[in-house]
Parts: sequence; structure tokens; C-alpha cells
Amino acid sequence: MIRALVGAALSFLAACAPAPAGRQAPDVTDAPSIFDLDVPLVDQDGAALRLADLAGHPLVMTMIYTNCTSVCPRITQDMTALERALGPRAADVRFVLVSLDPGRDTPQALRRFAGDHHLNPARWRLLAAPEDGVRDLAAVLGVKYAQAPGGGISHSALVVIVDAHGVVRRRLTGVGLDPKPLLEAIDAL
Amino acid sequence: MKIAALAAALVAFAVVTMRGEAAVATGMVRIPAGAFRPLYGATVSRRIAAFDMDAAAVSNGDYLDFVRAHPEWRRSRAKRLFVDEAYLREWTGDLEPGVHAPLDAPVVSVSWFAARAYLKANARQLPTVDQWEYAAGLRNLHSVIGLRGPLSEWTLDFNSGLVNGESRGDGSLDRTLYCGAGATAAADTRDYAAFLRFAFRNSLDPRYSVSTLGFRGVRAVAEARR
Repeated sequence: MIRALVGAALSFLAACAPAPAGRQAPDVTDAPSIFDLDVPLVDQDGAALRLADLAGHPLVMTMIYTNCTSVCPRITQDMTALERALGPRAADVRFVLVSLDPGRDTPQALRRFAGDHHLNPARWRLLAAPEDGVRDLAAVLGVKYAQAPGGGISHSALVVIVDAHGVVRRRLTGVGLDPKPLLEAIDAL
Repeated sequence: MKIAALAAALVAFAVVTMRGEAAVATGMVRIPAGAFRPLYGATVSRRIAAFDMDAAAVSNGDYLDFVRAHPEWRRSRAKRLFVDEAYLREWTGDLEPGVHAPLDAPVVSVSWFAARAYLKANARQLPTVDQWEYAAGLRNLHSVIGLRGPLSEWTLDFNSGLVNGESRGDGSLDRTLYCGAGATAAADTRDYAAFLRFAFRNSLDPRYSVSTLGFRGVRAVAEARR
């Protein structure tokens, strides 16, 4: 209700705002690519990289933290289920887990998480970024998050399908996801 | 703007003189430490450390200086990942704010990414929701201009209000906050403006450029002492 009121108020204000005379449409071109975000990253092997280094492959991305005992393992399971469902096509896909916990998710912690979940190192990249970078990554992926009491992190359960050029093609929310729409999104790339 | 700067300078002088603390930068106001209870999500108050806050929202003139020095943030060059089509829509050109964007008026129609880039270039950052709401709720804080005005402002963690698909069983926040008796879970059910701000922040995408949304910067006091 409040949202509707806010939306209505904004629409009203926008409608009331004077339209600058002779203004040309901003010349912003091309679809937004997450590879334009220049954030220093480190993977589970301690290798430094940037998002753009992931270009050339369809990406299945999410944000988790390795101390999470509830939803993060389930999101990871959803992604491994998708990997299995893809069959041979999975070889071209990269599965990317970005940490929400830069303070604790060291490369060692990421590597341990990968081992615990039997993630194929040829296809899976577990990434950590500085706190500011985490904020930017969450923003471009559409992940909401906040520190929770007790040291946890509340966050969106979100799987994002990104094409080889870095354009977000699909976002799916929840856990226990049906792999079918994810498969369809990857097939459509 | 000049009045705001003068007020801030006076506050800074008073703080330094009376407490012997670090100076407040010109154009900023020292926000004293205190306790704050967020509208939703905390049953006890949180401690807010002292910080410095811009006395006024960033102006079109300030932003013009920024895009002059950082061409990648000019309207015609900003990347689509970071701004939507309405970025700086009131301006008449890359370096021409024009009559609909007076130099001394707050800059609006800037995305969260753009606001962050501006503040990073000026050694400041966006206030957190807690910092912004805490400052807005302080009595007798007349030297901070516009916090309680009609202009909304970006916050660093605008995307921390969890509504859908949240990971820790809090996916019902939307219902508990907005629906009937559930709204009584809020810290202050009489603070209608806070409800509006909460709902507005939750509706935002970091690329959005909104004609009623500007921003201001903050700086940690510890950083100011360097």
C-alpha cells in the first residue's frame, strides 16, 4: 500500500516536473555488462582477477558466504543440480560464487567450501572482494544483504544467469529452484 | 550554499575549540555519537559513532566540477551498467546544467553508482541508512540543510532492506512491515515519513536516476583525524 502511494507520488512528481526544452536523450548505448565493473577479486586458489576475466563463457552466479549453514549450501546445491542437468554443455559454463563476507572468506575458506561441496575446479570460481567491491557486486547482481545479529549475513537467495558478454539475462529467486527455467535461460544465450 | 558552508564552519570551529577534537572539513558538520533504533529489524538501539556529514546535498555546481574532471561520468559517456536513461535528465548537455538545474541546487537524477564515484573522488562516502536516519532524527541539528526536506537521498546500504527471497527466513518482511497490525513491529509506528523512506529505498535500483533523489557525503571522524 505504502509502495503504491510512493509510486503514485513519484509518478505525480515526475509528471509535474518541467521537461527541459530541447533536451536530447542521453547517448548511453549498449546493454549493461557486469564486466564494466572493475573490482579486484581473488579466487579460491589465491589468483587475482577481474570480472572481465570471466568473459567468453555463460556464467551462473550467486552471492554466498562460507560460514552460512542455512541457505548458502542449498543455493550451491541448486547450482550443482543445474550443472548435472546441463550434461556435456556444462563444460562451457562457469559457476561463480561471490563471497558476501570479505572479512572471513579467505582463499583457504573458499577452497574448503569448494571441497566440501565437491565443486569441479575447472568450472567453479569462488571469489572474494574487498568490502567496497562486495557492495558494488551485490548492486550489479541485484543481491540485497545486511549484517544480521550474531555475525551472520542476511541476503537474497538469488541465482543470476549472465551471458558471455556480461549481460544479465535472468535472475531467479529462492532455493530448491526448478532447473528448467535456468536451463532454458542458458540455452537461450 | 554559502550560508550552509558558513554554518558548517562555525560548527566546526565550536567543536574544535570546546572539545579539542579534530577539525571538521569545510562544508561538513560533526554529527555526535549516540544511540539509534532503526525503524525495523532491531529490538535494541545501535551505537552510532560520531561522523562528519555534508551540511548540504551535493549541488549541480559540485557535480559539474566532478564530470569536468571525470569525463567517464558525463551524461553521454556513462556506462549503462551504472546509470539508466534518465541520468542527469535535467541537464541540457554534458557540461551544461542549464536552467532546470541551477548550480546551487542539489543535483538529482544521479544513480547510486554515480553518487559513490563522486564521493570517492572527494574523499567521502554515502551515509549508511543508520547514519542518515540518526542524523535526520537529531533535534537542534539546524546546520545540516535539507535532511528533513522533500528531496530523498541515496544511502550506502539502500539495498539492505530485505524483502524478497531473503536467506534467513525473513522473506515475510514486506508483510510484517506494511500489512495492518504487522506494521506495529516497527520501532516507531507514528513515524510515517520513515515508513515512506523505507519503502522508497526498497524500490530503488542502483542504476535509477530519480528527479527527487540526490545525495550527500559523510566521513568517519577517525579518518578526519588523519
